[in-house]
Amino acid sequence: MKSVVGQGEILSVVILVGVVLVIGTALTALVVPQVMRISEENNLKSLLHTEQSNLVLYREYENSTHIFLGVLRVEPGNTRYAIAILSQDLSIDAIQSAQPNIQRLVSFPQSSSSMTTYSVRRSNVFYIFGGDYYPLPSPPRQDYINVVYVPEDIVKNYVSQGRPFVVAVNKAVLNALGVEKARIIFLVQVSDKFYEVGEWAL
Amino acid sequence: MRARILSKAQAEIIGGVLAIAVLLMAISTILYATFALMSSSSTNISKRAQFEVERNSERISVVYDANNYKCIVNNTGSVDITIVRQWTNGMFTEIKKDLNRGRGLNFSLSSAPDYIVTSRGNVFPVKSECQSQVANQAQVVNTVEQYISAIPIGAPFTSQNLVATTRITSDRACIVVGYRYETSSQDTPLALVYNKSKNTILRHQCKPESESTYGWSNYTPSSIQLPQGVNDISDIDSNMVKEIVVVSSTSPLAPMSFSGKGNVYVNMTFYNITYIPNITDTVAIYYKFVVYVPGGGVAQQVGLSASVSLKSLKDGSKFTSAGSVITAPSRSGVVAVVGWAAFPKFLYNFSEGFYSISVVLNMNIASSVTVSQVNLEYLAIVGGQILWPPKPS
Repeated sequence: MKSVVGQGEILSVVILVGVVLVIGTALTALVVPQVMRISEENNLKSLLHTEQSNLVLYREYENSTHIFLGVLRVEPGNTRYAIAILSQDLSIDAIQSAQPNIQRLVSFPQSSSSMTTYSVRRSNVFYIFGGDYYPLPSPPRQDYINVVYVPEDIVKNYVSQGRPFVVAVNKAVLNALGVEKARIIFLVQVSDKFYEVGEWAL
Repeated sequence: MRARILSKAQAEIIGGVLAIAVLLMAISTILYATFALMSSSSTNISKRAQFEVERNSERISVVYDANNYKCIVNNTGSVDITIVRQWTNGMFTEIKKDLNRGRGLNFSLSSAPDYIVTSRGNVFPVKSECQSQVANQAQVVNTVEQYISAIPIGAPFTSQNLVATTRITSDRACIVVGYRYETSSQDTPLALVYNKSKNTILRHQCKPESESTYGWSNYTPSSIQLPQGVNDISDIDSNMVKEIVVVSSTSPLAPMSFSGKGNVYVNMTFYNITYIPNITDTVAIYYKFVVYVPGGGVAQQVGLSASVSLKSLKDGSKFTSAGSVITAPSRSGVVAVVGWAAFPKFLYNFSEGFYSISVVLNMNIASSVTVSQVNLEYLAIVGGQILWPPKPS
């Protein structure tokens, strides 16, 4: 009789521990993804804060046709910026409109490499408005925009050495494309998404 | 029964501990990530703020050194500067020049960049700053009205504006002299001498394309043939200011004389003598020739007039003004020809740059009359910087 009582107690303890474990695992499964998501968001925010605070844009020279923007990464690093040139209301993509002669619109005078452009879904490009990130609006039949990558030799010789480089933008071409006021947006790529880290308004 | 209750409590405690551990782990992870973000943001902001402080501390001043014709860029800020680029005429050049606190960099006016760019992304204008100081030192007359109103006051130019004595004999001087009669289409080249002292005669015959001909050289003529009645060929009006003397290009030393054949033109071109800055409104050129027309106390019939031209070295454009001439003959036959010509930008539309100046003396000489000597005492430039440095004495 005594042994039956002992077995019953052990059984109930095992059942209770099992129940606790199941509940604990379920709770962990619920909490861990949230923690991971929050942690990832924080890491992304941290990365973007770092890039935003490191980017300095300034007008280096301007004449009747061109503006030469100075671009400086304060702390030397290997960040490869992508550049989008959009109209003020973000509806017109000047780089896409300038195809196939993109060099006429934007160029890197210090680079001997050819430029690389990349077509990216508008919903994957995030611009800053009021301190928060928002995906680019997608006008009808314009799901993609083109971005131009800063050439590798510029990254190697300027960005990674903390030296300012120059981006030349042809204002006359912009006007010809119907973009009187442009936003030159500097982006960094994180996985398949692009985030604004600096902007120059023309 | 009592043992059973204790077992249930144990299980609840174990379960509770597990649940709390999971929650604590989650909360601590979130807190850690949040604090890490805050710390990272704070560090980034702090670094950027430090950078902006340094960036805003960059200061330069541009000073024009009129004695050495240099634009001096001084680092007057509290941080060392590295110049990484310079812009000239819309083109940039990569450079790397460290400009430590209190130090300076020299540029000649012609090679001074429009802008310099520092490694912290500051852009400083250089040439325009320098030019404005050049203009100030060149005593720019800013409007035609000021210019005209300045004339009656009596001092339209100062010592700084004068090309005479040590400046006219500068090592950078290049004066092309020639003459032609009205029947001739091109100039016959001449030379110049300057009687610096009793034993030192300087000679000058320049070709602009050959820099070795710039400046003056000591000259020992095989013989000296002075016009009758002239003791000192370099100060024939005896005002204690020496003149340069137009001579034939061949030895021996003899002032060039011109006899009555109608109009004779003596052309003196002062090559690359002035820099006219952008803000100049009116350039005024003053000159004084001294001409000797011997006649034994009898008046001789010689008409004297002059014209002045500015010629751009950039595009060759030429601007000519007749200006005004006053002649002052003396009983001894020495005639002072003093004149000026004004070039208001509003009329001539000249641009900033380096210019040569030509002064053409037109002598209408009656038959049987001879002009024995033509000297130039000074040239003065208002509104432009004189580029010829004085020759050290």
